[in-house]
Formats: sequence, structure tokens, C-alpha cells
Amino acid sequence: MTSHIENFTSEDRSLLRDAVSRFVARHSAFPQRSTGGKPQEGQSLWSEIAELGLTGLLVNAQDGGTGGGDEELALVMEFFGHGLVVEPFLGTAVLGASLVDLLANKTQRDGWLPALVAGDLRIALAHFEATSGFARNPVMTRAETRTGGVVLRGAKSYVLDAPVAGMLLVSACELDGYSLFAVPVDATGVVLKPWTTVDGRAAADLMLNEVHVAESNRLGLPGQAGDALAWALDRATLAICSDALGSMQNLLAQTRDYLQTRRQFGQPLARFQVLQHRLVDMHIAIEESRALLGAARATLVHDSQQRTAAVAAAKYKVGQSARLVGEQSVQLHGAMGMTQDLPVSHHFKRLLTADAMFGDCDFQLERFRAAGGSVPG
Amino acid sequence: MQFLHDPAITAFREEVRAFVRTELPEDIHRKVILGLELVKDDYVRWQKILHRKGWIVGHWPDHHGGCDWSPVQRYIFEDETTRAGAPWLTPFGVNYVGPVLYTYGNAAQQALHLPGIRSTDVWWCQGYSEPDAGSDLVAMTTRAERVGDHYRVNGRKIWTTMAQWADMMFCLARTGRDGRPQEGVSFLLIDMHAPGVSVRPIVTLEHCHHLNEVLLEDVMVPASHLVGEEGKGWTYAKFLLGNERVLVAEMGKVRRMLSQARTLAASIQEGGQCLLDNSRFADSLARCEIDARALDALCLAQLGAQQAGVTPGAEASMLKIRGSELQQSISRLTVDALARRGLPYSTETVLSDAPEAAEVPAGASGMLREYLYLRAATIYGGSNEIQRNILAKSLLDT
Repeated sequence: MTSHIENFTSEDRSLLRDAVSRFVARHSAFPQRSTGGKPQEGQSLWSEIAELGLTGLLVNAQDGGTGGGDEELALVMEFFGHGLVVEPFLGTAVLGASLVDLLANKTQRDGWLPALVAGDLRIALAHFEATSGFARNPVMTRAETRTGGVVLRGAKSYVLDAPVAGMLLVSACELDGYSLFAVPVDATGVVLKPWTTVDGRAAADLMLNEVHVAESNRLGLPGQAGDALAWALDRATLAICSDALGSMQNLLAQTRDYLQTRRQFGQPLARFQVLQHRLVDMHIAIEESRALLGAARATLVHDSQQRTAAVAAAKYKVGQSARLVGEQSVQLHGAMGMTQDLPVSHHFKRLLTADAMFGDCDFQLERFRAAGGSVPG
Repeated sequence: MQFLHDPAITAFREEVRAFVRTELPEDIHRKVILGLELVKDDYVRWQKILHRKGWIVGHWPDHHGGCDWSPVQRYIFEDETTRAGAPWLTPFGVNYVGPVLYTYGNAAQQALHLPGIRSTDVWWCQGYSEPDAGSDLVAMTTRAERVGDHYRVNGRKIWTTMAQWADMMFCLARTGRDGRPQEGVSFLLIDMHAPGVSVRPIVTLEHCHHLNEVLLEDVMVPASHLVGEEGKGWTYAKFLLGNERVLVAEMGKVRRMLSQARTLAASIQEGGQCLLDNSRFADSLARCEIDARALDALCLAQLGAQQAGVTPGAEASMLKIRGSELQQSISRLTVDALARRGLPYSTETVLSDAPEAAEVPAGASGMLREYLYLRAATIYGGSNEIQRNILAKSLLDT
């Protein structure tokens, strides 16, 4: 699972940093973002992301990818959060690429990875269900082996990136575990109900009415995809944390500038101690999140017990910070912070979504406790 | 809180409750409960229903068409109508400029403006804030120069709620240049249809248009539209701001939001369990319930003091702080519940009453809209930082 981690030299990384930072600056995504209602078109941006080698960021060099690891992923996500990028990166380049890498056989890899790297194949993971909430163990969707393949029945909810995806990775209960299947989005029996998240990302709810898939569309062994799913979801959880970190960093900079330029009562707002302290609390929250996130990233190489507690702790801390930084950035901007015209309100909504993705603070607290989390020695 | 058990007060509460149940139009009620954007006609229709009953200005003196309600009656009226899902009673006419006019206006102004305020045939907006005068309102620079029997007004007002629907604006403008900054301010009534007035929309983070910027370019305002004395506008403005008192807590809205949060949580599942059975969520809800009880108790204590003839001081700021923060906490809980389904937000749903796009409980977009909009609750009407300054001053300066 960790074979790519040392592939990137520091020179590679600085090249990556330059490329992503230029990309984000070029499109300075706001204000087309989170326009409300319509899923993003974004085909041209997506091909640019592919041309930069980012769709294949986590794919091995021998499979035609960029060969990056979790540090590189963190770097890219932070820029994407900073620039409000809403392209389907998480579904395809993080969850999709990770699951294909962990579970797919040679034929499947050869079929999917080149298209994924080229930006021609977009993937969405359909795992969560309406009755599961944040819990990671949905039970309603089931796989049943028939002659000539498998039949999937059930429903999935909050399938991020589904409306722009060509291929769905659908989890289903089978043999006391989870199996994973590649299902074309236009397969018979797949009914998509697309919608948009409050921060402008495309998502969908999904019905699976007797969907027939060939055995060759199965990733991994029957009932044995659970560990890979859990690992990929942890990786994606940390990725969204990095995204939130970039967004928070942006808000801190904007708010700092605003306090220094906006004058009331004959002086800049930055001269009021109560506002200074608020800004400092935001700053501390961000630095703490960054540090804890780095520590959690290192546990992606470990087995699940230690990893679960570390990822839950990081997501909890980032969620708390996101709430503080998002809400206070709006508050300190006053009515200006409420307007569509400033990026502040867009970052506020992005952080709201980041907090909710893969489980909010309450959920992570429970997960941390259940994993026996304590302070490591 | 003995006054609450007074049979006359209990009967009044029952009467208001019954009235709302039978008279509030179902379509308007539905929009309010689902958090959808109301249009001007929704507000006007409801306010005209209240007008026919004489209750729209129940808190006014009877010789100006009111019912001489006590502060307790007014509190109960707001509480009962709001919790039952009636629209926000737009305050610009009936709560703000109306009382200024019957207190400081002349007979001609009262005869001209009060009927339109009572009937909601004339829609009012408030021209206070300016780009460089928000929390520091007295830094305003809009100028009114006397030219014959007119004032020529130039300036920019901002964050003007519902100005796009307004026929009239009450406006603070500078008529003098000398003395303390408070001294040169006058209270003018401006016809929004007059030449030189233009309204530009400001779209807020929930994609709705209720705020505006109002440009005033050489607007000629008849001198008869000056309220009270020239240069005394600041006094009238302060009178107006002090007028709402315990109503700033918006206790009825708090009750409505709590009941909605509970209903929503009952309909959301997590790991096969109802969210109300999730102890972390249930605890958060219980914390809000306790805060709501405390807020209600605080309102009643202040009402009791008012009944007993104690002159109100800075304590309304307490209610503003606690009320706004509690509304934010409750709406955050509903968002936490909706987060389980990915926070779908559809402007079509909110603005035109289309069905939700996602498989979510009815009203999901409306609840999210309310959460986003309520970020302003700690900013408008004097930000909570300003309210804390007011309380600090009253604690430390005496």
C-alpha cells in the first residue's frame, strides 16, 4: 500500500508545488464556484488537471502515473482547498486510484489506469447509504452471484462526483464482508438522482435495481474488499483535511488583511484586542491541525488500530478548527463576510462540507474512543 | 413570573394562538416551516390579515390605531405568532419608523404616513449603515443640504434590507458640520421612487437577495419630510433602536427551530439507529433546550422588571447575544443532522419551491439556507462585539 512513498524527490515535489500553485492561480476558481444548483461542467479544467499529471498522482510510474504518495497528495489538496477547486479529484484520483491499485487484477489495471491517468475515466465511490449516516458499515446493498455474473440490489446515498463519473465503484455485502464492483454509470438498473452540495460539488443518490455485472467487473475477492475500502476512506479523509487546511489558510490571510485595512472608530479593526485574540485563536487552530494531520498521515503505513485513532483525531481537530475559522472569518468580516462577492463566504461553505465529509466531529470523537485512542508514547 | 398566570394574559395567549391557527394562510405557513424564501406578497398578505384584526400595531397607543398592549402582551403576540410559523413581522414600518413618527413627527406627517404603515400599503426600509459606517454608525457621511424648501441628499447606504420592495426609506443624513458627530445628523423620509435613488442588489452566501446598496444622487427631499428637529436625528435613531427590547431574543423563533430540529433528527438514521438515539447528538440538542429555557426565563425576568416600572438599561444586549448565538447553535444542529446526507443545497428549492433534488427530508435546503443566513444574526442590529462593549460599559462605568 505504501510502495510509492519514497518515489518523489524533494526536487520533484517542488516542481509539483510550482505546477499546482500556477494552476490554481490561473483559474483562481472563485467566483464561478458554488454558484448553487448546477453541477460544474469543468471538462476543460479536468483535462488540464490530467495534463499536469494530477489525475494519476497516486498511480505508480510503471502504470503510467506520477508515482506520488500521501505527502504529495496533501500538497495538492491544500492548493485545491485554497483555490476552491471542485473538480471530481477525490472520487477519481484518490478513492478510485487507491482502490484500483489495492484490489484490481492485471487486466483491470491495464483497462482502467491509462484512461484514469489520461483524464478520460472519472470514478465515484458508492459506499455510504441513507440509513448508515456517517457510519462506515452500510448493510442495505447486497451482491448475489448468478450464472454469468452478479446482481446488485440496494441504494447508495451521498455519492460524491457521481454525476460527472463514467464508472462507479459500488460496495455491496457478500459473504459476511464487502465486495466491490465496477459498474458503468449507464448500466441498466442504475438510477442516478444528481444534486449539488452547498459548496458546489456534484453528488448523487443512487438506486441499484437488479443491476447485472459481469464477474470480470469484480475488484478483489468476494467479501474481501473491506480492508481496502477502510484504508482508502482513511486516505480520502486525510485528503479532505488537507483541503480544509488550504481553505482555512486562505481565510486566515483574508481576515488578517481585512482587520488591517478596515477602519471603524478611528482605527483599524486590528487594533481591537478582542479581535486580535480571535485571529490568534484561528491561527493556533490551523497550526495545530496541520501538525496533527502530518502525524496522522504517517500512520497510513500502519495497521488499522493505530491508524484509525490517528485519522479520527486529525479529522476531529480539523473539523473543530474548520468551524472556528469559517465562522469567525465571516463574523470578523461583518456583513461583507455574508456576501457572494467575497471569497470568504465560499470558503465558509467549503469548510462546512469538509467538516461533514467522512464524518463530523461527534462521529470522529466516537471513532477515536472506540479505537482505544490515547496519547502515543 | 406572576403576570404570566394572570387570567387576562392566559386568555390573550389563547386568543392569539387560535387566531394564527385559523387565519395564517397555509401556503405562507408552509414556506416559513420549510425555510423557503418569501416574496413581498407573502409578507403583505399576512400583515394585512393582522391589520384587519388591529394587531399589526397592537403595541401602538390606541389613538394611533393600536391596542395599547403592555410589553408582556407584545411579547406573547410575537412568541405565539412566530412559533406557529407566521412570517417575520417586518419591523421597518410598524416597529421602527411608526413609533418615531407618532412620538416625534408632526400631525401632518402622522396623517400622511401612519395609515400606510398600518395597512402595509407602503413598504419601508431603513437607511442607516454606510460602506464606512457599520458598527461605527456615527461615522456616516451621507449629506443633506438645504436648498429652498428641499434637502438635496447625496450618499450611499448599504445592507439595506428589502430596499428592492420599498416605497419609502427613513434615512439618517448629515445636515450640520459642526459639533460632535452625533449632533449634525437628521432623520429624513425619502421616497424610493424619487429621481436619483437607485437600488443595487447584494446577493448573500445562501444565494438570496434581501440586502441592497442604495445610492442617493442629488435626491430632492421636501423639507416637510424632515422628522422632528434638524440635527436631532441621532436621538430619534437611538429611541428607535431601544424600542425592541425583549423582542431581540426572538424566543418564538427559537421554539420553532428547536421543534424542527427534533423532528428532523427523528427522521435521520445512523448505523440503523435514529439520530435522536445518538447520545452525542441528543446531548447537543438537550444543551440547546436548556439554553432556550434560560433565554425565556431571562426575557420574562426583564419583562417583570419593566412591568414593575424599572427603567431598562443595557440588558437587552444580553438577550441579543444569547438569542443570536442560540439560533446559530440550533441551526447548526440541523445542519449536523443533514450532513449525514451530504449537505445538498438547491436554490431552485429555496427560491421557487421545487422539490428537493436529493433523497433528504422535506425542507433540507430551507434549513441549510436558514443556517447560512443566520451567520448574520451575530452581525446585524449591532454586532455581538458591539453588544458586549455596551454591557462592559454599563458594568464598568457605574
